[in-house]
Amino acid sequence: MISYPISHAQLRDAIRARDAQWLAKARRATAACVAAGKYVKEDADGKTIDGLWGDIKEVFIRLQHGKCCYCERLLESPAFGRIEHDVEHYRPKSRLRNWFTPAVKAAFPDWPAALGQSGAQAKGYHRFAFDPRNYATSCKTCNSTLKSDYFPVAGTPKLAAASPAGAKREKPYLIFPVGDGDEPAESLIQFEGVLAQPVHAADTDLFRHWRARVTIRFFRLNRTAPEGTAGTAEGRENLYRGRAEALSALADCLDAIETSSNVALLEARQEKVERLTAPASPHTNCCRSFLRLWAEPATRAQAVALWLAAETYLQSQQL
Amino acid sequence: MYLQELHIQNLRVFAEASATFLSPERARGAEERNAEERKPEYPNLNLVLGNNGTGKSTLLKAIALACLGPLAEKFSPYLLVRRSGKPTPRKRASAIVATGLPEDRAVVRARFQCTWQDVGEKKPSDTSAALAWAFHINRTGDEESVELLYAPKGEVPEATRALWAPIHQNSSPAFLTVGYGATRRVDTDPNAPTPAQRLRTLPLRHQRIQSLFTEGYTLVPLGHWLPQLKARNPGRFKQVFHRINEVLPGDIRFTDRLDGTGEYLFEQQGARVPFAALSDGCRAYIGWVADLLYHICFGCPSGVKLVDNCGIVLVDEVDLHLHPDWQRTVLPRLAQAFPRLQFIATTHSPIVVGTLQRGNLWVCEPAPDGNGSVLAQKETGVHGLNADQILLTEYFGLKTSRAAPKERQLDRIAAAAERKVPGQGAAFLRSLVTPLEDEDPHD
Repeated sequence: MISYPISHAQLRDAIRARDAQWLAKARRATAACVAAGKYVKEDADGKTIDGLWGDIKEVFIRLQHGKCCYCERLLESPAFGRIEHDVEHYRPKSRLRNWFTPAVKAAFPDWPAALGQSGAQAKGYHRFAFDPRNYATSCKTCNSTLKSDYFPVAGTPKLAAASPAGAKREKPYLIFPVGDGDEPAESLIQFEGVLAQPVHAADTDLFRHWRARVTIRFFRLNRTAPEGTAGTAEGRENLYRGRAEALSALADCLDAIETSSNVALLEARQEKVERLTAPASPHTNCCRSFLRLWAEPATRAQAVALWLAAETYLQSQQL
Repeated sequence: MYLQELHIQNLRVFAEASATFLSPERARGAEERNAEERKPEYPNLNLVLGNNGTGKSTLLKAIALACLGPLAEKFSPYLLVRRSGKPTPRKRASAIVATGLPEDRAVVRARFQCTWQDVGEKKPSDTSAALAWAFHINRTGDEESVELLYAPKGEVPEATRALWAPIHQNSSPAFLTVGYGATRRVDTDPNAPTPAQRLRTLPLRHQRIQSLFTEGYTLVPLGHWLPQLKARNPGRFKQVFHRINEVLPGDIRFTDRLDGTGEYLFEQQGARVPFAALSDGCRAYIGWVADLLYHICFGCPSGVKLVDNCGIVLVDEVDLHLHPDWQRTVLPRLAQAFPRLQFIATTHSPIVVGTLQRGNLWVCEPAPDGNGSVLAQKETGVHGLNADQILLTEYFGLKTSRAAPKERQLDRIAAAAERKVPGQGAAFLRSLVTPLEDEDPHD
C-alpha cells in the first residue's frame, strides 16, 4: 500500500475536468441524504442518485495509476478498467458492520486493552456518500469481498461529522491512501520480502502499530484470514506472486548495476530501478522496502536471502 | 415467454425457496443510471450452481413443469414431493404449522412474462403480458400427480386459461420451452424415432423437456430435419447454419455438407469429420444446440428471423464434457447467438461461473436452519477471476487448496512478521515451496 497525495482543491479540479456538472450533482445528492437523515438512493424528486460516483471513477483510476488502493495490484487502464475497479467508499455510506467478531478477536491474542473496538451501526456516513474525499478505487476482492460495510475504529464512530477531517477523531484503523486526509501509508506499513508488516513497533507507537496490523489483516495483505470471516482461510496467493515477481526484477537490476561496465546498460538499469519503485508500478511499497534493505550494508545479506527465496518460490509456481 | 419469478415449497430438497430471473425483456426495460455497472453484460443468462444434491436439477424440473402450463397436468411426476424422514404424526403436524402445507404436497408458483409470440402476434413487437401461475404436486401413497391452480392470488381463472390457450397447438410458437438434462445425448442411429413418431407416446411440448426427467433421452439429430429444411426454406437453413457456427469455438466449424450416410460434416483442424466421429464434448454441446434450433424452427412463423424467437432454455450442467477453453466462452456465445432466449443453466465449473456477473448467478446452498436447500444470490461477484480464485469464494466454498498443517505454518510465519519478529520474510517464501515432510527440523 502506498499513498496517492492530492489536495481537495486539485481533486475537485480533476473531477470538474472529467464532468463539469458532477460536483453540483453531488451537492444535491448529499443534501438529499442529509434531509433524509440516512443514505438514500433517490432524491426528493425520485431521481436516482445511487451510483453517481461511477461517473468519476476514471479520476481515481488515473490518480492511482490503475492500481487497487489497498492491495496495489495493477488492474486495467481507464479505457477498459471500469468493470474491474470499484469505487470504494472509505467510510461506508449506509451502515456499519461489526468487524471485531469473536473470531477476529481470537486472531489477535496480543490485542492491547487500551485500544477500543467499534461495533455495528444501523446507519453509515451518509454525509460522505457523495464526498470525493471519501473515494478511492479498489479491486473487487478488496472492496466487495473484504471491505464490504466494515469500518473498524478505536473511538466512537462520528457518523454526524460534516467532513472527513471532522470525523478523524474517531481514530479509524484502516489506512486511507488517497488525498491528504491520512498520513502516508508507507509511514505505517512496510514489507519484508512479500510480507507486509507495521513500520512502528507496538511499544513505540501503539496506535500506529495497530493501524498497520488491522489494515494488513483486514485486506488479507499477507494471509491469515480468521475463521468465520469473509473470504477464505487461504492467503491471497496472487499478491505474493506479484510481489515476488516485482522483487525479483528489482533485485536482478540492483545486482547487475553493481557489476555493469557498459554505460548505456547501467543507465537503463538505473532507470528501471526508478520505474519499479515508482508509484505507477504494482507493489511499490514492497519494492521500496526491498530497495532499502539492499542499499543498507547491514541488511544486504537479508535482502539477498529474500531474493533467493523469492526466486525459488517463483520457480515452484511454474506449471 | 420468460420466467421472472419462481417460488417453490416442499419440493425435494427445497423446503422453501424463491428466485427472480433475468430475461431479455426485463433488462431492456430497466433504465438505470450507470447502466454499464448495474445491467449485467448478458441479461438473458441465469446460472445456478451448488454442490451435488443441493437441488439444481430439481429447480430446472420445477421450471420445466411450470412452463408446461396446463399441460403439466398430463405429466407424471416421480419423487418430487419432499420427504423429510419418517413422517410421525407429530412431525406431520409441525410441518403443517411451519409451512402451512400438508407434508405430501409440493407447491410451485411462477410469474411469467408473455411476449409477442405467446399472445398470437405474427411479428416481433414489444407486446408483453404478465402471467401468474401455480400448481401443486400431490402425493398419494407412492404416486404423485399435478394439480393446476388456475387462479393464484386473486387472478381471474378464465383470463389465465385464455392466455395459456395456444400451448395446446403443437405448431404454435407460443410458450417455447426446451430443456436438456445432464445425460442428454443424440441418437446417431438413422432409424431413431423422429419427434413426429414420438408424438404417439409423448406430446411435443413434453418431448422438449423430457431429457430433464428421463436419463439418456435422445435429442433430435441434425440429419433428421436440416436437409429437408435446406430444400424447403434455404433462407431459414442459412440462419440455422450461422447460428451453429456462431456458438462453436473458432477451431471447429459446421459445414453444410453431408457424408454418404447422411451425417453432417464438421471441419476440425483442416479435417472433415462427421457428427458421430466428433469428440464427446463436441457432440454433447452441438447435440442440444441443434435440438434447440429444431424446436425454434418448428414453430417459428414465416418471415420471422430465428434470432427474434423468444423462449426459455433450460440446460443442466452446461459445461458437460467441455474443454476449459470452451467453458470460457460457452455462455457468452450462447447469449449473443440467441439474444431473445432466456437461458437458465446449471454448472459445477468455476470457469463458466467466472464468465458471468453477480446478477446472473444463483447458488443452491444448505438452508441456514438446516432444513434442506435455499436459493441465494451473493453480495460479491467473481466476474473475471480465475478458476482457482473462484473455487475459494463463497460460490464454491472450498476453504483452501493447501493441507491444513501447512496453512497453520504459513499463518504463524505471517503473524510473526506482523509482530515485527525479524527474518520471517524469507521463512515465509521458503515455507510456500517446501513440503511439510521435507522441512529441516532446525529451520
